[in-house]
Amino acid sequence: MGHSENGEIGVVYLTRAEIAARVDELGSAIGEAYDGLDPILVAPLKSSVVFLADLTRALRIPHTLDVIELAPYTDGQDGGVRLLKDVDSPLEGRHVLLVEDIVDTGLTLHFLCRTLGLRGPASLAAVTLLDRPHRRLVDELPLRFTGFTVPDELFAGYGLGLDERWRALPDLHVVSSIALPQAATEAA
Amino acid sequence: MAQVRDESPVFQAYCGSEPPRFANRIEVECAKILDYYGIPWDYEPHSFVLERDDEGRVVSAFTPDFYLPEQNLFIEVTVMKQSLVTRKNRKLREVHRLYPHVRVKLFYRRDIERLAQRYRLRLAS
Repeated sequence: MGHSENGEIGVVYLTRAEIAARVDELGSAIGEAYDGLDPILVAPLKSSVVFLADLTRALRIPHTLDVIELAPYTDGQDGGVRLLKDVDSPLEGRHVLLVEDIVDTGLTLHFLCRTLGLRGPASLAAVTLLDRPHRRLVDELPLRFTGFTVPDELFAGYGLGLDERWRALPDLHVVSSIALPQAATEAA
Repeated sequence: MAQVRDESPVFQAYCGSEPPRFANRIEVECAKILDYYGIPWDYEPHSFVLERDDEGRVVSAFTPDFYLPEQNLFIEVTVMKQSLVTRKNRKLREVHRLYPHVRVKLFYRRDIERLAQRYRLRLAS
């Protein structure tokens, strides 16, 4: 897919080859850590699906997959996070590995850990493709595996999208400021 | 500074005793995000004295906007451009020097814009 079909976007930050190599390393590390434990990989939709698809093929031990979907935060919404789709499998006694595309503030991962932790898993940890710690609000996260620690930039591609654009790009791009929607650049 | 009346002031995770009186729309949005994710938060619960005169009167203080008790973290939110926050940065350095055990994180306009992008906020009131 050509970039012109997706509008303006910034330069490539990680090529598909660099990502593939690192995902393979993550698969090996997770395989060693979870050998014999039959882990269940749980990914929040949607941005993590590309990473999940590659990670599951790089993980050479028996494991299962599941997905969860949180309602996106919308301005003015009350009542806390809602699950649009819960996991299908019981988690009690299972070794759960959450698969995140990016950890930023840590709020989403913290919520997932708190919610799934109530279901009695044997263990609960997380792997993230990207760790962007600049704005971290929650420090105590079970982040056990990290693909890349990235700078304070916006990224798109490899499953990550902005307003549903650019998810299908195979490389990871830095999003240039001219590509941002107006809502992101207005200040009160 | 004029204070902002929130149109939906019922917060679930707010742990202060008095209703918060936000200074601007950005603070309201930050409170909503914290609340949405169930992170307990308080609003301006503490002022850090930075300087007193010879008679002991406070001449300079710093009051971070938010406090997250579970994280033991203060957050100051500013919408000033990065180039205009020199005074705030200086105060923050003073807090770190005088209260080294206190964790304060400053969220600049750029950080808020990033959050706005992620959470699709309307920053313009």
